[in-house]
Amino acid sequence: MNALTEHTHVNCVHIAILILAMTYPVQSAANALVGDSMAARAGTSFQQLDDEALANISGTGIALGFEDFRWLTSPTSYYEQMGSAPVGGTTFDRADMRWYGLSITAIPIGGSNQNDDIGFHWAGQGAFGAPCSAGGLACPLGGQVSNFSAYDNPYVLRAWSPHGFTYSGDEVNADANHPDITLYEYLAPTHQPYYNFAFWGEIEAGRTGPNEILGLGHGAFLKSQTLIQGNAAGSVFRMFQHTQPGNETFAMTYHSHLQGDFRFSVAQQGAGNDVIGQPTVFDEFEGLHFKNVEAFIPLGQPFYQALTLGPVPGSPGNFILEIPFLRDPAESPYDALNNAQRHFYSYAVPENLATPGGPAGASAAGHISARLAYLHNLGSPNVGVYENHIMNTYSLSSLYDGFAGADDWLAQYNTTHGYSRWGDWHPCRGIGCPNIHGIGSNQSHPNRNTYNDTGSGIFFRKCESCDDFDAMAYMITAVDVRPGNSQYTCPGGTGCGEFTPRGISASTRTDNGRYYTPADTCSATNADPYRCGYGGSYSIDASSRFTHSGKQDPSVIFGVASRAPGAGIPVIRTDVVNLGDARIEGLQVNYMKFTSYGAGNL
Amino acid sequence: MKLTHVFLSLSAIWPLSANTSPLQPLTEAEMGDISGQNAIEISLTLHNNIQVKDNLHEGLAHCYSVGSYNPCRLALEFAGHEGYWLVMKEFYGYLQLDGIQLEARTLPTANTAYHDEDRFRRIDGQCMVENCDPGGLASIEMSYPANKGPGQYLDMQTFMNIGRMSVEQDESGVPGYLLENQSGVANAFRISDSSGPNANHQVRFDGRTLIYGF
Repeated sequence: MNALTEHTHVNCVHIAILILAMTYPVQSAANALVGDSMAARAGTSFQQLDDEALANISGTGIALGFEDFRWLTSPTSYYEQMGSAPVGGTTFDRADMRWYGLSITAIPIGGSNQNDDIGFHWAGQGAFGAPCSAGGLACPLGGQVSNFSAYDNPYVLRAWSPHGFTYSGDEVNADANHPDITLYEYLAPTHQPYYNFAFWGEIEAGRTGPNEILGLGHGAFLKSQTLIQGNAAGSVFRMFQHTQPGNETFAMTYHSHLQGDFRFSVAQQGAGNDVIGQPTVFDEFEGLHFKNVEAFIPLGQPFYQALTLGPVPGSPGNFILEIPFLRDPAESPYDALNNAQRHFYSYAVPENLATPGGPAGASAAGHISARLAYLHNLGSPNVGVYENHIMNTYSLSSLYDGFAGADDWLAQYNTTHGYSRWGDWHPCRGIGCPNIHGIGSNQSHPNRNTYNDTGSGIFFRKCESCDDFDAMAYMITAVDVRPGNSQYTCPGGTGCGEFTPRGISASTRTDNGRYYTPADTCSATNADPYRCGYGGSYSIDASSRFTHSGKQDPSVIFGVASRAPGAGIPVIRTDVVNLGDARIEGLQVNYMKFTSYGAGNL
Repeated sequence: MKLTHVFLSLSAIWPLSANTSPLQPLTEAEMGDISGQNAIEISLTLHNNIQVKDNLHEGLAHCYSVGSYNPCRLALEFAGHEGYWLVMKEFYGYLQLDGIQLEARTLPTANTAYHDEDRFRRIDGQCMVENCDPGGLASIEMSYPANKGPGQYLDMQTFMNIGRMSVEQDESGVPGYLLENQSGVANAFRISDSSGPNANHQVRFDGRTLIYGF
C-alpha cells in the first residue's frame, strides 16, 4: 500500500505506527525499555537485559491488557456519515447519519444513587447524566470494566507466517524457517467479561445546510439508541497481500464473533429535548430486543480469500469493497477442488456426492457436512447414528477423509463456516440428535418461548408509560369485511368454499387444516427421516381441535385471558411480544460486494 | 508538504523541585533515587490543515474549494490497482492527547478468571513465553490522570473532516492524487461535536493499559 499526503501529518503518524508495530525490532525494543525501567523502579541503576532475558523475547507480538477500563465519549460528540445530493435520477432525499457518545463501559446495575456502577443516561441531572433506575439493557452507560482484557488473556497484535494455501491452492509457509508470505493480525481475547457497548444516533433525511452547523438547514430526523451487552471474544482481524492471480492487492479478513444481548430503541422520555444534536433520555424498556445472541461470521481466510478494495469498472470515481469468488459459481460441482477450495468448503464426504434420486448435478456434500458439524458442535451422543446413516446411504467406507478424525475436520469446518443464533433454542430433530429430540419420541418438541418471554429470543416491548398493545393475530386466511363484522366466519361449514384454509391436516398432511389445528404430532422414522420437515419429529399439544366453521380466539393457545368477548378482536393485549428464536447454521460467505454509487454518473 | 502546527510536550511526572540553589551534578546514588526514571507523561497536539479558534476549528482557506482541486487531501494507492487513487478530499483535522502516563510495572502472577495459556502458544504447541504464562513479566503501564471529575471528557480531543472521497485515476502522466476529474462524492465523513461548528470530539479514558511483548 502506498500512502501519499499533502499537508497531512496526522495520518503519516498513524501509518508509521502501524508499520512499526509489524516489525520485530520495535517490539524487542519495547521490551528492552521495560527492562530498564523496572531496574530503575527497584532503586538500582540502569541495567542491560542479559542474553537469557532477551532470549525470552521472540518478537512474536505485542500484548495489550486493559484493567478497570472505560471509554466514555461525550454524549454530544459524534462520528458522522455525510450525505450528498442523490445522483442517477433517483427521487431519494439526501441522508446523513451520526453516531453519538460511542462508549464501552461495565454493564450497569441500576439504582438511585450517583455511583457509576448504577449507570446513567445520555442526558439529565447527575454526575454524567440522569441515573438509571434499572440495569442491564435498560441503561446505556455504566462504570469501569475490571478485567476488560486480563493480562493473561490480552488483545494481541502480531505478525507471523502461518501455514496455508494461495487462491490457486498452492501451499505456502510450509517451512517455518523460510516463510513465503506474512500476515499481520489483531486478536481479541479468547475469554473476557460481558461489557456494555452503547451509542445513540440520528438519521436525518433532506439536509440542506452545512454539516458544520447541525441546526442550520436540517431535515427530518429520528433519534435512536443502540445497546450491545456482550463481547467480541475470539474475533480476529488480519491483513496481508492477496494471492488471487491478477488481484494481488491489499487484503483484509475479519472473523467476527459476537455474543450477548442487544436492544434498539427510539422512544424518548419526555418531550422538549428532541433537538438535533442534543442528547436525550431514552425509555428504559421500549424497543426491539435480541437476547442470547451468538454469531460467528468469517469474512475471508488467509491467504486464499479476502476483502479487497478496487475501482468500479465503467463508473469512474467510485470504489468496490468485495470478497471475490474463490470458485466460479458456473463451475460444475463435479470439478475437482484445489487445496484452497478443499480447505474452504471442508466437506466431510466427497464433494461430488449426489443424493440418490436427487436432481441431476445437485451435490449433497454441503448439507451432510453442515448437519454433521451441527451434531458435533451440539455434543450429541447420537452423532454416530447419523454418521452410519450417511455411510450406509451413500456406500461410503469412511468419513472425514484427509483428516486425522472428526475433531480435526470439525476444527477446520468451524473456521470457514459461521452461524448466527438469535436466542438459545436448539431445535435438533431427526437422526443423530440428542435423545430428547429422538426419532419416534413425542418429546422432540422443544420448549419454545412464551408469547411474552423477555429472557431469550427476539421480542418487542412497549415503553414504560405506554399502553399495552394488541398482538398475536391468529393466522387469517379470509376476512369478512362486511360492515359490523370483525371476525372471520367460515361461510361454508367445514369446506369453507373458496376460503379453504391453507396448510395440512394432522392425519394425512396432504390437505388443508393446519392453521386450524391446535394439536399435531409427527414422528420421523429411519425409513423416512424427513417426513416431518427438517428430519425430525414434533408434537404440538393444545386443547380441543378447532373447527373451521367456528370463531377462534388465539388467546386459547397462549393461555391468557381473551379480549375477544369485549372487543370482538381475536388478539392478545400485551406489553411484550416475543417472536421466537432464529438460527442460521453452516453459514459460508462465498461472495460479497459493496459498491459506492455517489461519485460518478451511472 | 506543509506542516502548519505540531506541538509536542514531553515531561517527567516528578522532575520539578522547589530547590533554588545553583544546579549541581547528581551522584549515582541520587540518580537512583529519582523516581522519575520509571514514569513519563506525554501530551500531544497535532494540527492538520486547520486553524484553532477556541476549539472551534476552521479548515485553512485553500481547503474550501469544493468541486475544484485543492491540496488538502490524503490519497491511497493499493498494490494490484496501480494508477487508481482513493482520494480523501477537503481533509483536515486535529488531535490532542492530554496527560498520557507511561510507567514500568511487573505483571501480576496470580491467574485471572480469564487465563488462557493457549493464548501464548504457537501453532506448533511451543510456548511463546516461559510456561505459556506472562505472569511476572515486565510491562509498560499506560494510563490517564485519574483525578478527573464526573462528566469530564478531555483525555482525547479530535476533529476530522473528509469532505469528499472518490477514486481519481492517473492521466497523461499526472498522478490521480493531483487531479480533480471526479467531483462527486462516494463517501464523506466527519468526527466532531454538536456544541459548535467543527468542535472537538471528546473522549474520556478510565483505567490502565498493560503493554508487553513476547
